[in-house]
Amino acid sequence: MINQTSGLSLRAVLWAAIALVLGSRQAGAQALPAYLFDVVYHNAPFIVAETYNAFGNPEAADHLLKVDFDCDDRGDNNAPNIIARTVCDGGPTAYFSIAETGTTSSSGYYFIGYYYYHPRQPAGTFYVGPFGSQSDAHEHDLEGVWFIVKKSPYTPYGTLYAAVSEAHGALIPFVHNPIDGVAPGVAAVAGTYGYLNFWYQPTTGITRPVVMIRAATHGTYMAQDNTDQSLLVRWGFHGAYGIDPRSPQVYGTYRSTIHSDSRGILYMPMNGGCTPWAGCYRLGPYVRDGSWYYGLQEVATSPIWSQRAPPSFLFTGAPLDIGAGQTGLSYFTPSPGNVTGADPMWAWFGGRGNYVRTLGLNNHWYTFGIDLTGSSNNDVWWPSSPSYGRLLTNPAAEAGLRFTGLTELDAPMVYNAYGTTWNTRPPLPGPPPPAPLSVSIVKPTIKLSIVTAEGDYTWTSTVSGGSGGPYTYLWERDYQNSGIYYEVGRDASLTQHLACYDNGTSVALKLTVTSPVTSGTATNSAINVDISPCPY
Amino acid sequence: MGDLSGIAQHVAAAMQSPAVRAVIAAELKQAPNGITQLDLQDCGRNAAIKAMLDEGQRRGGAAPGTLCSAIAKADGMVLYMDRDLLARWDPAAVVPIVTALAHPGAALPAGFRGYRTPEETVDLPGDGSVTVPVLVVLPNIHPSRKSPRPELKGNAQSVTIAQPAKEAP
Repeated sequence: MINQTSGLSLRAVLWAAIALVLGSRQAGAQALPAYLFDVVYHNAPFIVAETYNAFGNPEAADHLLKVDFDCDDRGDNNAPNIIARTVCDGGPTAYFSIAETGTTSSSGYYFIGYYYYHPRQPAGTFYVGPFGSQSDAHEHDLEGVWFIVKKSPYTPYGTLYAAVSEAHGALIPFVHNPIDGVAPGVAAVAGTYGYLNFWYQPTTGITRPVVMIRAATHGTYMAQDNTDQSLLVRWGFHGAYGIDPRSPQVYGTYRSTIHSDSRGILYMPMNGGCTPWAGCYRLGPYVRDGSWYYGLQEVATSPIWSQRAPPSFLFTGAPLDIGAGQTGLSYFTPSPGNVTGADPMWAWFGGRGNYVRTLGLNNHWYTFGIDLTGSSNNDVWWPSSPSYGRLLTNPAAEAGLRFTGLTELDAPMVYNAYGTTWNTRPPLPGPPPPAPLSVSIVKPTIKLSIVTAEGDYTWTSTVSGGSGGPYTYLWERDYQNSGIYYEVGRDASLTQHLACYDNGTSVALKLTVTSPVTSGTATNSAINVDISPCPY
Repeated sequence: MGDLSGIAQHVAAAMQSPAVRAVIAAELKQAPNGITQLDLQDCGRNAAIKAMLDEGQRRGGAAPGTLCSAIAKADGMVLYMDRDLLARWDPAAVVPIVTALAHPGAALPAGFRGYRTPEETVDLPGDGSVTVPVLVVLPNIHPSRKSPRPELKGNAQSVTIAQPAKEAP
């Protein structure tokens, strides 16, 4: 028993080391540029997450968590640990990915994925035939949204043009409502689609899209506007789940309508990772509502990416070619004897998803408010990706597969941590180089540059250019015309007392002025000392 | 342009001055980390922004103190120019168009208006195919004020959940 334990431990260490080497950022990869994180943060959505009322531990069912909430990168102990409340890093977290196309700040797109992990899917039904179904409860769950953000010369963070949401395998399309006049002509290629809706966040001045997550099954959707009840306007006759987009301004609250079997948590993004000192906390096993922050963690720097390929403690199943010469495993690793129905984002490919009856009868898809038939819709022919991993490795092609009317999809990739192009974007302009620092010395006014009387003589300086002050000054005097200078002052002007014991010498000065980013030097022609008669 | 239209009009008035244009262009180009935004809420301290507000008043705009006070009370406000347009902008020769977006993340319509002068507006293409310099007043908090401290529990901004009249699976 002891030997076996030791052996497993050693093997685990070796595997972890190998995984670290194989799975970390590719060699030469650059850290995510700060401006791209700003783009991620400014487009990060509000999340209305339902919490189901039938579980004694809502943290284990519906809270947003990291895959390593238990402070290890293993997948086979996540479900047992969350049930046992073994949580050491339970801050709400959304993973993100971002790619950028277009060589200028206003051409091309940002493709941003936000991914939501839950250690368990405690409930759900999977239809297997026209009259049959089976339980879809499983360990692990990863769903999310993927945004197509057009770069714009009018805003530093782009404009959200379209989105897809992952819900049980399908990638459901969302576009702007035509009456908004935004992104005209951008439409879903096929199938039922919903609209993008937003809430204004007064504390940041940011207008954010809103995402809704169904309790327990975690199907994820862009929230729908449920305020219009007329059959003739917008979503007048759907099931009335969704949000009031105007509620923050009109009522001072975020108003949302969710299922009666649930309560709801409102998550708002942190400008960074989830850290308690910044106000982002673990919710704990009893919280089912309230307003909370979630942190943002890049997929590329998380265990999800470092553990994507064998050997992996987090994923299992068949290795998939996810593009760009990379491999990703098919599923999250379940605990022994249990099943997982959850796949990582590189295994998402869309199509009709899981909630479909076969034989062409009663095709059934519940879309949390985008269905115009009340509780479900019959049109589920959303596109399927021709290969895995494209949301990460080939996002422009994936956008073109799912939407029409998107221009500039052929713009070159300039940043993608998951593909072959790491960061070829031209560097951001820094401050312009400061003008050269101009320094000159103004000599005391004396005839013929000859000092003929004992007294104090003052040299002044003039300085211009550079980066501006504050300046520092260093005056040096040539020692007996030797070419060797010694320090005589550190002020903007210099006063020297000259007397007849200086007779026969000359006063040659050098002034060095330094500003915060540059410096300049001036020398002056010497003045000679010839004081006569000498009083002593 | 919405609620920010008045600010944009004031900025457009100030931009008629070559000296103010030079100061604002220099200030934008010197912003750290390539963030080509000025924090308008710094109007009480930033000399360039003060100069711009003063010039706007000389050309018929509101009193700078009143305007600065209103800006400071906003949730956030920045003056932004796209970095590529900024790189090409010759402030000595070109007066920028000034516009504002009340909800920049959500809505960028197919076409909207911008001020060429306080009295004259022009159409701007929503698709971004603009080549002239455009200054945009945005309601965002400047990145240097990176405080996400919030509106959480106990604040008026809390979720209100209403149960639907109709149920679905």
